Amino acid sequence: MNNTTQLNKGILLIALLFAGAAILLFMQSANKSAGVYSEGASTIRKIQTLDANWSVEAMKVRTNPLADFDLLSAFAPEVGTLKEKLSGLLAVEDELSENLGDDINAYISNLNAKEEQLERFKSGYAIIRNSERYLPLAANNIVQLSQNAKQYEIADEVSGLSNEMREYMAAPSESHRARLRLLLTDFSERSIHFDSALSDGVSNFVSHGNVLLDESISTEKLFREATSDKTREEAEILVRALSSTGAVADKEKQNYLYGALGALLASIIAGIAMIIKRKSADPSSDLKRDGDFEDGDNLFVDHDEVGAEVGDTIATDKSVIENVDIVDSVTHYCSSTKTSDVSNQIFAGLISDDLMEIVRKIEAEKERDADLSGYAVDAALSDKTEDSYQHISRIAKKLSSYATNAVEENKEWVNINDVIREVATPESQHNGATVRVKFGDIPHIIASPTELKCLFKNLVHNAVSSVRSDEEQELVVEIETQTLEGQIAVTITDNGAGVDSEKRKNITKLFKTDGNTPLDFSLPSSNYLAKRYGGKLLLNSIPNKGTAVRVLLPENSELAGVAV
Amino acid sequence: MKYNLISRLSIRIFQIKQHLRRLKILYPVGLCLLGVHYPVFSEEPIKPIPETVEVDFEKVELGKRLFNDTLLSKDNTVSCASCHNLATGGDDDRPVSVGIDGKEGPINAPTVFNSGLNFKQFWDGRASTLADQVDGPIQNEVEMGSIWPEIVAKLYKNDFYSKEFKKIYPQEGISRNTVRDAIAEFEKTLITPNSPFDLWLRGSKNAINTQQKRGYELFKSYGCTSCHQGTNVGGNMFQVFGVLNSYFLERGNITEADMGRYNITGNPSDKHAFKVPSLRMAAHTAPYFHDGSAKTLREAVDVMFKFQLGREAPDQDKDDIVEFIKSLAGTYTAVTK
Repeated sequence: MNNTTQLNKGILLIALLFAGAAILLFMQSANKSAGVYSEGASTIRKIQTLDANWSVEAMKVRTNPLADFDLLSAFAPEVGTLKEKLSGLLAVEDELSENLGDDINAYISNLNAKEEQLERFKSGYAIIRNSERYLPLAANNIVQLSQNAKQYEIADEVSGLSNEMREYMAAPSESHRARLRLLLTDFSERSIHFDSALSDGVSNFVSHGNVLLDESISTEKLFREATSDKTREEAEILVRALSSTGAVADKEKQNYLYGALGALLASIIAGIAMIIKRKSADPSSDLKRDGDFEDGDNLFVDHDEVGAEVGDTIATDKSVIENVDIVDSVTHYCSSTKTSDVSNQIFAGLISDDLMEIVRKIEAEKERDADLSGYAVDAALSDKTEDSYQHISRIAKKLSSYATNAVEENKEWVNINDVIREVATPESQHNGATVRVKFGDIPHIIASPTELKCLFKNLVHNAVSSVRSDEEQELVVEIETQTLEGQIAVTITDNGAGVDSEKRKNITKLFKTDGNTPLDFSLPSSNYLAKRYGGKLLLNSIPNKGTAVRVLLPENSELAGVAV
Repeated sequence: MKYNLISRLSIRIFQIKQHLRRLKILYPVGLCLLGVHYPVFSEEPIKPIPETVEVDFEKVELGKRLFNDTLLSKDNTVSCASCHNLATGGDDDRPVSVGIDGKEGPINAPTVFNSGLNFKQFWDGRASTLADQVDGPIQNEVEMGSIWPEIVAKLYKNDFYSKEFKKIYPQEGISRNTVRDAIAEFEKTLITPNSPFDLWLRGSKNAINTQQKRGYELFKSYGCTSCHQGTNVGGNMFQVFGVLNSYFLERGNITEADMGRYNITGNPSDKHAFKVPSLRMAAHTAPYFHDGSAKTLREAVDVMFKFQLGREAPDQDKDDIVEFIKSLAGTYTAVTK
């Protein structure tokens, strides 16, 4: 793995980290809902208002002996509904600080206590207002009865007690209660000696007096507690706390959102950086794969059909002789590189193909010479040429026969994707190049798997062996298989140094060299194989950008594998 | 005779008034012509029952059907109406109710009329709403002995309920919640407005007779309104039964039901405390008290004087109070669209 690859992976990692952070921050911001706090505060405000009115109603009831308890009772369900709402908000907001949660629970608990206090106050006060109302009547009854019986001291005593009870009720105290309790008990004990009517009267008076003594302090305490400002003060504190927490949550939400946006932006920037980096290393960025090979596309308008001009420049006797000489070197190449028999057959086919073209041209020359029979010719040269022609013709036929027979015997249904996979895998280890393959949905064809391997191995090997335009540059080779207009297209692109148009012309021709690079038969042999299957090979290259080679093979298997 | 004539006339006047209100035609003029004027009751401890209540009519119809349907009980023999007969004052006229298999319950069935005006439901106030109250008798093994899954299954098998619930509660369909809601909605309509006393409160001077007027004054002066006040003349507070004398000590044979609210709160001060019952339909709901011990209204008044008020009163006063209490009963009109 080179530095460029590491850098790209690093950028990718950073982009992913930022994207993850953006998602997390966004989720956090969603959790931070100030609305819950403001709703909580609003609910408490409503309770606070009801609470105040509740206390006012309790005070009204307490000052009016004929007041009904309907309104006082009606607050509880209203407050209850709001308490449930508040509890619900508490359950929803799990981010609520422990203290605030406890305070709200304590507040709800105190509201419940208030409700119970007021309920008990109603019960106690009902008794008190009954006895308080009756006690003077009972006292008057005793006064009348005692006056009738001329027992004026009883009348005085009961009047005194009645007054003292009134004073006590105005400001109940424990000491006063204890004293009155003693007086009432004493009065009751003495009343057993009174006549029955008077005794009954005293009994009634004492009973109601004791009820007042029993109930007044506790009921007064209940009233004070229920109508105290405690819950309203708690509400005030809670509203402030919730508003403050809400503001903080709002701020936090905002911060999380900003953070999420920042992380998202950083992720996008990292992504863009990675794309730019990949683009600089990716041949597909400048060498458009699909469009490059379309007619009329400026970037590939001058593409070469490899081998189209093969032999054009060697249709001379001299050239023929040179070519013939080279046949040995071709054979040597095959054996020296220890390629398989198939490879040899391919080369044989390739050379025979070329030689047969030369033979045909010589035959054409001979016909022309026959037309010129009236002219003097060099007989020695003519014999030598005839010998060469015969020699070449024999070799070409043998090679062609060798190549054709071998290919016909090895044909089978082949999935080109499998071939590419087999070819690309070992090549991916070569020259530090990164090889990416994109397999398309392409049909099987009838072909020799070995031939196809040679076809594509040559091209892939060329690509991964490309010279880098920059030492730091990561060499990336992309292979894509697809179907284009009824043909199977295999496109191999690299981001190597590429070749200029002049050099490109030469590399497409058999046995041609620019004088600096050694002979390479890969492109012509691949071209030969492509043609063998009724296809062709297209090439585009941009200096310092890269090279794209596309092999087009007929999709229809019936047409595939036609003999050359 | 005179009372009856005046009372019926007053009721008729208010029925006409209601009609005018519904028609919204010449309402003020009509009221003036009928000599009706508002309000005269603001300072009284008892307030008239509202003449109308806002409800969902479809739910009311469904709730009415459920209220009268024995399907809600385990053996399909008991309905809500079995113990709360609308034709007999909204209760069953028994000391204690009879449920499935002829089992007797522990407590007297209160009237269902005006129960929506009570601040809590049941004698011990264990339910805060009418809907919550529905759970009680339905699941009580002595009363209806049913369980909700069975009820829901039975209702689903019934074409009418299946269709109606789907229509009225499209989201939830048949469920404990929707059955309770429908029944509660129906029970809200079980109000008895326009009682002679309410008509009197609203200014119809002759809606109640002299004895009833005197009874009302005595009712206030003896302190009955300490507990029996408000729209429902009770039903808005708890009170210990036996404030000035121990009712239970005298009656004996104390049962769990006699413990009242203590059974709910566990607070000793709640022993023998009950929700103060409404007196609105008392004229029609004998026997009285949670134990059904008072066979007549007069007996109930006697018990109240002895144990709650702690005083004696002349018989005439008590009779007058009884007559006043009778004037509190209004009329129930089934709510329709």
